[in-house]
Amino acid sequence: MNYGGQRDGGDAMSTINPDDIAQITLLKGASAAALYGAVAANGAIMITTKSAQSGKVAINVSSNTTVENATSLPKFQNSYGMSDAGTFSWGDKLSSSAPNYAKDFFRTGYTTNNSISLAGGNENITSYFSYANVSSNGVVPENTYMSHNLLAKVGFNLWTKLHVDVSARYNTQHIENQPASGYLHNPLTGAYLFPRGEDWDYYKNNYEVLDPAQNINVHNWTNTLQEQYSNPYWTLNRQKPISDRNRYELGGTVKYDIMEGLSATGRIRYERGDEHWTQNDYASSTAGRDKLGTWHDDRVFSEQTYADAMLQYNKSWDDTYTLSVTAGGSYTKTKASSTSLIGYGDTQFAINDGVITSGAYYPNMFMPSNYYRLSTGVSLKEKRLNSVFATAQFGYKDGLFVDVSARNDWSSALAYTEGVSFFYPSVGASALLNKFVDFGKNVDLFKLRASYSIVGNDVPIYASNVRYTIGDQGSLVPPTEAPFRTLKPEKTNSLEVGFDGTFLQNRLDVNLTYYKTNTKNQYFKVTAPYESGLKQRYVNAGNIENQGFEMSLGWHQQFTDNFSWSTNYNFSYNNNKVIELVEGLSDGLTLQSYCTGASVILKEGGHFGDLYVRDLARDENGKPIKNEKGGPVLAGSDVKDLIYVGDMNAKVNMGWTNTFHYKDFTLSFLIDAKIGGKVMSMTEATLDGWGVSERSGAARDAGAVVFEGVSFDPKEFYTTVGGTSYNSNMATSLYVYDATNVRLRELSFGYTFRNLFGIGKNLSASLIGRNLFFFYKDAPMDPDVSASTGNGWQGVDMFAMPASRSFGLNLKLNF
Amino acid sequence: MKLNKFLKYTAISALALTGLMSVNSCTDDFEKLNTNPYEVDPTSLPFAAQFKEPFSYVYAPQQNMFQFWTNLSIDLFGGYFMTPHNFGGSGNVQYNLNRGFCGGMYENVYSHIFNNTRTLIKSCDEKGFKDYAGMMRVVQAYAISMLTDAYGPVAYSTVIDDPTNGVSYAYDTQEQIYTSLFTLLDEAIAGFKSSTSDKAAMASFDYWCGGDMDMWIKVANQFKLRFAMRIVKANPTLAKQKAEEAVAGGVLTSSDKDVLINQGLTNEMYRMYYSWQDCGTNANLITIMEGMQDPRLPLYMTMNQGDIKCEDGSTIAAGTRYLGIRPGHDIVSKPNEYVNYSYIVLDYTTPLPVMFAAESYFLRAEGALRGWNMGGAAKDFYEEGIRTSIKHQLAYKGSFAGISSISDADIEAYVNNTATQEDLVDPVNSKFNYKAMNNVGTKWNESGSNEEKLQQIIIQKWIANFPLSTEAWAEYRRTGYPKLFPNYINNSDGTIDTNEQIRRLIYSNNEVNTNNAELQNGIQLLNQENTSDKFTGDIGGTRVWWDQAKKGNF
Repeated sequence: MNYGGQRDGGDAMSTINPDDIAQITLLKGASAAALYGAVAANGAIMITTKSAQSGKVAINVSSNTTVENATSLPKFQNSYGMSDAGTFSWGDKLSSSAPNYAKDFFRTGYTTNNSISLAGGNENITSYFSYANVSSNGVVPENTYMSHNLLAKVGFNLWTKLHVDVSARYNTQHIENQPASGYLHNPLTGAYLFPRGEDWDYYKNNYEVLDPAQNINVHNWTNTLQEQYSNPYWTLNRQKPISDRNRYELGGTVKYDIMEGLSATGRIRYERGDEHWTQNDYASSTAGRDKLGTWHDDRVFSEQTYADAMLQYNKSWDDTYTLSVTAGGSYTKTKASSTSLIGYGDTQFAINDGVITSGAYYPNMFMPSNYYRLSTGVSLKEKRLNSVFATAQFGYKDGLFVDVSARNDWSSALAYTEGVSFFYPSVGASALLNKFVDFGKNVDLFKLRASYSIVGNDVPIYASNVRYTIGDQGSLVPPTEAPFRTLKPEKTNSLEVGFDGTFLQNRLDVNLTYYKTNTKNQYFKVTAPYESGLKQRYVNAGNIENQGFEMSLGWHQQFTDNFSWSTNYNFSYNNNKVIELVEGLSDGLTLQSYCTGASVILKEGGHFGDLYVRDLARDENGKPIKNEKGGPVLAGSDVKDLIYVGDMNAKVNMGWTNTFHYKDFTLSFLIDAKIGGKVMSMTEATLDGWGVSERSGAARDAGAVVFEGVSFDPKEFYTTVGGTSYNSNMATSLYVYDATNVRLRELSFGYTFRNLFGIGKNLSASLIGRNLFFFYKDAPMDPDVSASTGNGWQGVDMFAMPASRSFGLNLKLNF
Repeated sequence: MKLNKFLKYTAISALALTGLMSVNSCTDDFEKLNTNPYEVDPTSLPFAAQFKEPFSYVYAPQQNMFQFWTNLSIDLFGGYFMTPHNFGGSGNVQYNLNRGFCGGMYENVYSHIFNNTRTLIKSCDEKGFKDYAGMMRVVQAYAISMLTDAYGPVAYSTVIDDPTNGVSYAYDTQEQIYTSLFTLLDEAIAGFKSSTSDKAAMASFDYWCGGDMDMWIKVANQFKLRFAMRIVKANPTLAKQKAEEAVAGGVLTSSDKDVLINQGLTNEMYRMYYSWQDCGTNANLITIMEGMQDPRLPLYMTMNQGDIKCEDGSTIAAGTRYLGIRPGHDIVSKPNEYVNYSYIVLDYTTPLPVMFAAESYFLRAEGALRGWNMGGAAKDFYEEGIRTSIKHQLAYKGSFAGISSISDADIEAYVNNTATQEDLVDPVNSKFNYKAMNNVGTKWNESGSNEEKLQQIIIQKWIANFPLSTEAWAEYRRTGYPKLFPNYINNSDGTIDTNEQIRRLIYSNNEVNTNNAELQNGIQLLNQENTSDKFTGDIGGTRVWWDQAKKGNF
């Protein structure tokens, strides 16, 4: 079951000040993996931050302000009122139409992002310093975000041969009410499911009322006994999650030019992050389960040390042959630990006949001393990865290149298995035919390339060494997963061929790539028969293939000195196929499953993301069955009963950008499209079951729901196919949508005020609109929503935050 | 010169690199790094540490496991409990059986009990601890009996031998399993009789009998008597033989304690009622106990928890009436009036029930009725069973109910009372009303038919065994007593007869997804043992082996 409402740990990349970024490079396949190993098995994003240049002191100031509004909200009925003791809206027709409460709930959010940077230096020393802050109020009330970011970098050139760079970065964030999807701890359920026609403003202003017996304020709502459905203002104010995060990064690089062509480089980098997360669920929260209030206090700590040493050698002979070799070793140590404290206030501390009922002493006192016993959790995960690697490139006349690389990793996560070491090589070649053949003046670049690589990946920590735990009252609990001692590292084999060309005096850019990757020995957790005493067992198995091509076309047209146009079109197609799966799984491998009746199942010949859903029961002619009450009947939820509706992943992605420059004006827009894929909305299903969706109202107006030619009673139909609680069965087949969509992703218009404060001291201003509108979409929500980033659940909407449309003003000033 | 310089720098760099690598390439501490410091090896702990989980999970002391184990399934069918809302229509309440909710028994027995007992029996036997092994044999027998009674054929012998090394598990017939249960108990009794272990050491971990070997022998014999009675229709000869052996070996008596786990583990029934309001009281229990004027009623149940708004516009004030809920109702969501009906008298600290001494008297009464040598007469066992139950329940629940005594006069008055079950009159929904189904009083009717006497015995055993729904439901299926109100709604799509009521749980999701080939063979075994003309296959109407559709009680 998925109740949601979990803590989102955030990611390191989001902490980087965008104004510090000099360059983002996507390293793919072999080149990334040879240098960065298993962690880059799926590619690496290299972010290079800005450095100062000698001889110039530059000051840059920028300020962005963005306002945003929620869009693609569900559609509601507004004519049928409350029923079932304040829960559903299956009641009588209202005398006047009810307002749209969800629109009233969301507010206009804003984000400001200000940064300043100073850079300067001479030939011996350069330095760069920046400060930035981000402050934002989300579209959900009470959602706030604040961050500060500092970056300092200093570079020294010593005795002309020794280059030393050091950097330090600090980031701090404070987040309140970070949006999370799911049924629990989510204000959206209450905002969407509020019974039509009731007094929204009353519940907004009186989300708590005094309980004189306890002398505390308690939850006030149309129904306070449904766990998944609370007053949203109570959730936001009295079940507020607060995160404080700090991140520290220290880095240093020493490069020594030993002689011409030969250099040695050593790098070390230390990163450390911590987070303190608290949530005080006030007394009466979660349908009263938090009777006296529940205290959560989590601390998470992570640390990574990375060091490497490399020798680089570059040599050319007779302007004909070149050789470039890099060889080195690296060391990566990661450590993650956490402490989680929970004070459960679901019971009142009591003593009966000398026997203690553990619990809380007083309501709403969120501190350890208020609980007889705290529930505590601690975790520690450490891993070390040692590596040696070498890459070499041989060149001929700057036009023909052969690349080879090899890497060997030793991972502590493979301890207790047959081997901790794994080796993976790659080979590639590229030819710039324009260097050897005269294609005429209209061919600027004509490059063919091909590569083949193997990338190894290790496995989760402790998978090979699962042991017993101590449970309640000192009971010894056997592991629910078998230690996987025959574990092997995953291997991905990739073949890639491509063409890069530039034509017509650099006006036309063409890039074409075909790739095929096969991941073998993939690490799967497979559900075990409970007879074995285990919940899951591990297997190394399968062959998952991804095959596709990518194309990008660009055109640059300089109409006049003052007027230019650049356009770029990207197209990618990926076909995923499960060629081989684990032996002995007759019904495939269930990656994810919802108790409501939907699963993502891998089967041989299928895709990594195939969605199977529950249908309505049908008679022998395929017509939906109608029961005696006039409602439909749900089909079963066993794997054999579910029906296949498609691959959740889109096969085709496209993007088209256009930029026009006229004098100091810039206009650009980006249209992107996704073709194929499926999304599923548990939100829509729940709105139907609750009787608040527009559909459920229209059906009542019409007196019946006609589904595939069979006429059903509206309430019987929607309370059966839709969701009436977070674990109720649903006909999920009715809530699957095509993810295909085409949208205007971004539109911007800018102007640069030149030499405003002196020569070269410019101010540029631009207005940017994002996520402006859809040219086409099938799903009621934005199909880009995601329930979680876990394998298999991208594209499931479970009361996820709606998409937002934003408008921003950017100002950049450089002195 | 240039070459020399190149060599020199290369050598220095190589040295530096090697220095770094020598720190690097060391993999000696990899095993330490990949060992979770917050997990343990059983070999480094006292031997008995592993007994705690199987001892306590016969009444799962964990909230989710408790709810899935019986509270969303068997508790709805035994007549004691009923949820006050229908789980959005997806629970088992209305007989539209849900594999998730039906699979809790399966998960609990295999994961928390059998997984421990099968390895512990082996290792205790190897070490020569026959008494320790005996305890695990009894626990295993109890758990497996609950499992097979719920589903029919299940994997048993293959789980012990594991011939495919965890890949698949073939099923045993229920008949084979019952044979194994008798063997387990006989081996256990032999182990207890030859006990040489230190009693104080055993008392430190023995959650059931505190290291008392004499009590263990009685408990094992009582299980044996219970299992013998269960198969009386399917194999009367074996039933008689095993029952007489058990009684001769000695079962629990009024001077013995009930088997209650009092180790500070949480009694999760409290959470089901009071915190989650997912469990309520069945109208069967209230109408039988209140109608028969049972003095145990206030030990079992509270009066209505809150004010109740009635159908006729009147209000029933909190704490004034005993009210239960009609099985198989169509009550949709919380809150509703039904969360204010009677609750169980309980606390998180109430000891977890395993076996009641009073049960033995009712088993012996039935045996005597059948003409078996039970060491006494049916009437005497019946009456002594009632007295024992009332006294033991007072000792067990009195402090939670605020009741310190029930006089012998009151007990005798009840033993001689002829009052019978009352009609079900639901003040909120008269559509749930139903006429009383049992017309026998407490007072033993020596002139009654064997069928009437059996009805008296089973009704009293049913009251005495509260809240053990696994036993209540199994005995209801075997004997038809007490007669239980039929489900108000039957959404089983023709897989369960409303009047015959549900006869078994369907197999678990996990089994369908992980052991399907053997499950299909198991369903063939189920069909072979099934005696129903109407139903067959993995549905709720199919009969397990001991539930003989075509045989009467006598």
